[in-house]
Amino acid sequence: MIRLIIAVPFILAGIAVIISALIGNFKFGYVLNRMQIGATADTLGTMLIIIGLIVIKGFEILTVKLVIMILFLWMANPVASHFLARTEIISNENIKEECEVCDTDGNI
Amino acid sequence: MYILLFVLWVIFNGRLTVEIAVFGVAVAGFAYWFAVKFLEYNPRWDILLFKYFFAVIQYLFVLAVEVVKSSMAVLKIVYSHKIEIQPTIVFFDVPLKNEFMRTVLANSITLTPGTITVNVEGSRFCVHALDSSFCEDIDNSVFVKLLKKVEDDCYGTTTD
Repeated sequence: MIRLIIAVPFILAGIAVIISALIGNFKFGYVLNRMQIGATADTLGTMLIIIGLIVIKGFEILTVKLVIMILFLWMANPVASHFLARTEIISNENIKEECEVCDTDGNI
Repeated sequence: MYILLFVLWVIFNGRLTVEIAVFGVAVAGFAYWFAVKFLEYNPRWDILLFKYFFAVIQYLFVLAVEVVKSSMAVLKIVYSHKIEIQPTIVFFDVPLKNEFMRTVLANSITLTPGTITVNVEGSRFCVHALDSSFCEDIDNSVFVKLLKKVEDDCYGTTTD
């Protein structure tokens, strides 16, 4: 019972993060900005939900499987978003209208 | 690596009997042989993995903290109507020489909400950020510091 009470806030927070990401996706128009918002759902949202599930189950073999799930998601996600972003920037000719291109020193 | 593969096999099975252990030894041995033969895995990296095990754990912890922090910043942008965002593409150089370290850094940057690595050419990174505040300190972030420390430590002992 006490486990459930600890776990429920985690899962609810995860769901709230994913819903916020959904709202954000509708708020912004441009692809790259939408992807940034989507990354929030992928990382923080799934992490919070899986932590909640771990707390519910307690420490057993399933816990380790869930941790492996987080690790795999975190390794696989960046590859997909990197390729999408790269394709968008290579194929979009008017990239400078959407975002500022600069150096760390502020040179454009 | 061999031990890790064996442990992974046992975890996926969910319990440990003699039969599973025998099969596990064989399967883990085959997977290890495959990695060395076809995936260019070097057995010397095993020693490095053992040596830097705590560094890996520390890195994962720092990564989780950074993800939470920047997620909060992104959610703030989603819910506020006043903040005008300024999407930025920023180019910068990293001090890391090792290919693997660069890959880890690029993946960490992409994983953190608010920043996506677009391209890596040599030591030059190209990163898209949702707002210019995300890329203010990007070429000197906590990831770079941690990876740089491990790399400097590593260069004295091996040639990798």
